[in-house]
Amino acid sequence: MKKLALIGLLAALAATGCASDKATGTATAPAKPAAASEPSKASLVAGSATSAVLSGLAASVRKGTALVGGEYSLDSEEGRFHRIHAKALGMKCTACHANDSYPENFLYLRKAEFPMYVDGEKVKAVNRAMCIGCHSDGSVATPFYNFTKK
Amino acid sequence: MAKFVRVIDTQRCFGCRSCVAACAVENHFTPDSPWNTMVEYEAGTYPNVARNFVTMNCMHCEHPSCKAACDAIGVHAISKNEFGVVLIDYDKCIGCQYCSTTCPYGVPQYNAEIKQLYPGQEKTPYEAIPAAERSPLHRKKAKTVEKCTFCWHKLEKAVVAGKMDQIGKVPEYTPTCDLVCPVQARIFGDIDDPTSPVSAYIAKKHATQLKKEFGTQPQVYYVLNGGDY
Repeated sequence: MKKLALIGLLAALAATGCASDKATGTATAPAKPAAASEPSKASLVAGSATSAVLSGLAASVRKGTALVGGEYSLDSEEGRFHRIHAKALGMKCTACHANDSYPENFLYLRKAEFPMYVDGEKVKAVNRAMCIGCHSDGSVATPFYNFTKK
Repeated sequence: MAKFVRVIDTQRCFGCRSCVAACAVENHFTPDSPWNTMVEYEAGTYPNVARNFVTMNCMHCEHPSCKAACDAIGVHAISKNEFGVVLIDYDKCIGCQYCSTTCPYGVPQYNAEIKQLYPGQEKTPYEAIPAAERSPLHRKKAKTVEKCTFCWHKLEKAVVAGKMDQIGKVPEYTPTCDLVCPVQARIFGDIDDPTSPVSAYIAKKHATQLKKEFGTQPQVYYVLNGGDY
């Protein structure tokens, strides 16, 4: 059951853009290229099941029942932020920290900070476009983007 | 109700960084935490090449992701006032940097420590101004996050004095970065007034917002000359 949930979770992450095969190097890519094919019934069922798992996980994080700690900090890998993404969701570091630096023409105020070194270790740049899939209004995670007008 | 916006014309900007320097002076710059920076890049292929200069400051989004993140964890240090200005309360900020993480524009700056401009030397008279004599927006604290305020300390004066029609026109009531541009590449004003220079410029030059895919609806518009936006 746990294995099934994990497979479903990885499939959902790939589908929502939270993790990419290129970035993670995980074996989530299909064996054959899925050239403009329609999703199969099985994948749709798996997708909705995964969505339910993700929603459940997000709800338990918000309720405080998931063991993700209470430290709101980005500095520490043991902070809540990294525990949610890296441990509870199982995302690899490279899923988000994909590039040494931002492209030259990337319009981002803190661009010059990267590549960043913390305790001698390189912290690669994160493109926030990665976050849109899960963190848009109406998606599974806490919404930060694309709020609908109310 | 007035809603303040800025338009930056990158076709006019030639990268002098007067706005960057003016912001630093006006807003008590502390090293490593700039509120206004310039992204500089080349575009095109030889011989048709161009060098682009895009100054970046807080976008004062209509739906600020920084505020959403701050509210989601119950800190509520970020507010958006009725004029559209997004502000951080240093007394409430816990320095978690969730706002820095969620901002698509990389705006909020974490200030780990208030460094001196000239380490090992006496403080400059400017740095020596006591906190009590500064605007609350300039009472910076270590281990908090800070960012551009649209020079709210100046706009607020106009609001209090009932001189909102002078915002964007009179130096006392206009963000300092917008005052110093030698080529008038920056215009600040009320977008709700269709006759304001800023409204007219946005319409005339088809100015756009950056990174629209995030749906944050920034209140800083750009006339762009290419680039990954």
